[in-house]
Amino acid sequence: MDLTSPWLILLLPLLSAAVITLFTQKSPRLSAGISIAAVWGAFAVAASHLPAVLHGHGVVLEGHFTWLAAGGHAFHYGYLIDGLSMIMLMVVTGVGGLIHVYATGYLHGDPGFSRFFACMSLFMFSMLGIVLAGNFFQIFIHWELVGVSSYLLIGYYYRKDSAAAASNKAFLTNRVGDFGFMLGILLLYYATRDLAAGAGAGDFRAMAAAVASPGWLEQAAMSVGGGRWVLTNEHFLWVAGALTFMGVMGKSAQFPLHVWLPDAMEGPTPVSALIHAATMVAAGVYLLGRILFVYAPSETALSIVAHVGAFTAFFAATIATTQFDIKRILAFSTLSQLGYMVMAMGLAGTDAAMFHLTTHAFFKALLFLGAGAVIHAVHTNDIREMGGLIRKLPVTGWMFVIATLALCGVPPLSGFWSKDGILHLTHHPPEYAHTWLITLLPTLTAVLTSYYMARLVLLTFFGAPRDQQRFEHAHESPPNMVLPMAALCVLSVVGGPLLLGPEVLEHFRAVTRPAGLPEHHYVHLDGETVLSALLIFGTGAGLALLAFGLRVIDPARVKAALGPVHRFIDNRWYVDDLYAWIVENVQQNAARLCDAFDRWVIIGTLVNGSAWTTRAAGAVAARVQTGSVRAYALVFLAGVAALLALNL
Amino acid sequence: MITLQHWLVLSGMVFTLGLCGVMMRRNVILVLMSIEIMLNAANLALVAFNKHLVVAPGAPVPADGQVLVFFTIAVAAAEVAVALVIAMLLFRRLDTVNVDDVANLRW
Repeated sequence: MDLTSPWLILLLPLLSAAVITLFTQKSPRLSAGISIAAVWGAFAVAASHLPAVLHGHGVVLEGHFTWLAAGGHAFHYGYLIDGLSMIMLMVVTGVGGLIHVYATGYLHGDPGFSRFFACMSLFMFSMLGIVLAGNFFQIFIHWELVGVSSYLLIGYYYRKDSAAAASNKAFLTNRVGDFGFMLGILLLYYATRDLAAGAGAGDFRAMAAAVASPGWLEQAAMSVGGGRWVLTNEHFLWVAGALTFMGVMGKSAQFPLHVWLPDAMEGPTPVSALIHAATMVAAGVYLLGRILFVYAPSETALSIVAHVGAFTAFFAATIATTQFDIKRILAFSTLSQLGYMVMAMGLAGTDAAMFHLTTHAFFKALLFLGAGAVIHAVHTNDIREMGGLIRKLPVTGWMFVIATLALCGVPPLSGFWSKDGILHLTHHPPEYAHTWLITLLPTLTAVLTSYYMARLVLLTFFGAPRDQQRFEHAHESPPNMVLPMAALCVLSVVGGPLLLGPEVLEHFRAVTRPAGLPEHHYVHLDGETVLSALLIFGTGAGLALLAFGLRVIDPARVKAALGPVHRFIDNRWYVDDLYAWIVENVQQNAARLCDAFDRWVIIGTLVNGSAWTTRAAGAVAARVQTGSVRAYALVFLAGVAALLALNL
Repeated sequence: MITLQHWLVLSGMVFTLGLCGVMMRRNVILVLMSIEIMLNAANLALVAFNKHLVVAPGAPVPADGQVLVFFTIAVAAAEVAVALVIAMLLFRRLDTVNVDDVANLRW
């Protein structure tokens, strides 16, 4: 077999998961080795195709087999490598590989070590399937597989009630989004099946071409409703877009389906870093980039995407300011950054969103790994019990600071370039998105980002230690944890044009921008941009410094002064409480109603009722059978006589 | 001159005799004998019909009635064999040949 065949990208992690599960459960070192080799193998295979992608536009590699053919529908399974998927491949396998190495240190000696790596490999297979998918159905299958592996990994500590509950919550919340996603896929598939005939079912490129062809809506109306429905351009695309966007909202944890992500932090920290920060939650953003052709013709759909993203970004950032769990702060920060990416997609800035996705994968993975190292050192998640840790964990601490600066968009770190691209979009939004939600909130969110990250860093690494005992026992992590962090740290710093140079960056943007979208002009490194980035960072971080570093402002007094506002934010805007209320009062009562209907009408009346009727009728009819032969003969005679009488 | 009607009336009388025997007799052997009488009444009717069959001049007279009677006799013989075994087993098990005493196969 060709060693650069893209099939290997899918096969290696799948094989690894199978081999670990079936054969090497008992030997943790071997399991970890297999898993890591599979990821880096996939990385190498993907990297071998990188030059071809960098030199060309459009699809570089494509291959599939027919997985299922039924009637006129052919479901294909395969790979599609173009600029967009190549970037995602590099991020998923590269960052994933580093995190696999880190996990060998983080989970050292854990009884479920082999199981962990089997699940990680399964996740890599699922995620890479999404990235490589060339049609809606493959992406949906892997969408669900990713959900399963995420479920398994969140519930890794399955003996812990909170972890088991969190994994259920993640899975169920995702199902809500996936249901809409499935409806959207079916609607789009049925609408374009005549126009895209010949290609595999749900093929992205055939569908994009179908949507772009003139008069396709009349054809779609015939396909969907046999001509009985009149689909108007605006409404059809709006509905299809909103339905598929539900899948994005579930996986990328956009408001109002964001509730699972903070709870998903119950999983081991490498999982949080890989799945719930760098890759899986970015799958929704990637999907938006893949199927932007659905949204591009409808301004309403784009506007929905942009506004949901902008609101999520702001909403999550406010919550992050009040949390005390180090991983939860990062989780809400992830929500907020995902909001940025989704918003950028809604503003038709595929390239800006994908760029931010990439840099975010670097520094957010580093932040999580840093948080993991801290948790590993002090055995608590609560930043109130930390403080001054920079003296005990200098390497981790400074890398954490660098990642924080990158997240806050301080020039010239990677986050500055990508966030600047997005903020620039919001300053000159298209007509349909010209609302204060788009123009004002993202900038405000950037200030909040700087504030909560500076607060996190100051409370964790600086000041006096608040728990002396934990502080004394803290120690720097082993090299197999520090080295992956160092690699991510380098990427976080140079992930922008410092690594690639402005021309390559422009090329990156060119390959991720689908044809037909308006060109954006980005401003690089002029005084105004740098100044505004520094101003945003200065405002947020300065506030945090005054409150938590220099102690000029007393946070308790601010909290008291804000009163209900603080309570509202601290309770996560009561979204979880609202859901709990709905489940307890609406859903439970509906379930009781259904239960009563089932118990009394279906079982009681229909099933048991018919059984009772049959038995009663039988009891009456059985009396005829007396056992007396002469009586039978008499009845027989009467019968014959009656028949004769009727016929004669 | 003995006509078809005479035979049919005789057959009907024999049949009624047998029927009365089945209805009234309690001894299982006698019930069986009555059934045989009914069968023979039917046989009598069959041969009588065959004998008085009117056919075209010169055509051979068919023997369908007689053939059918042979079948009936053969079947009746087999049936009697089975029925007598049942009667014998009844007597061995329940020590009775009275059909009114044998009413166990009931609800």
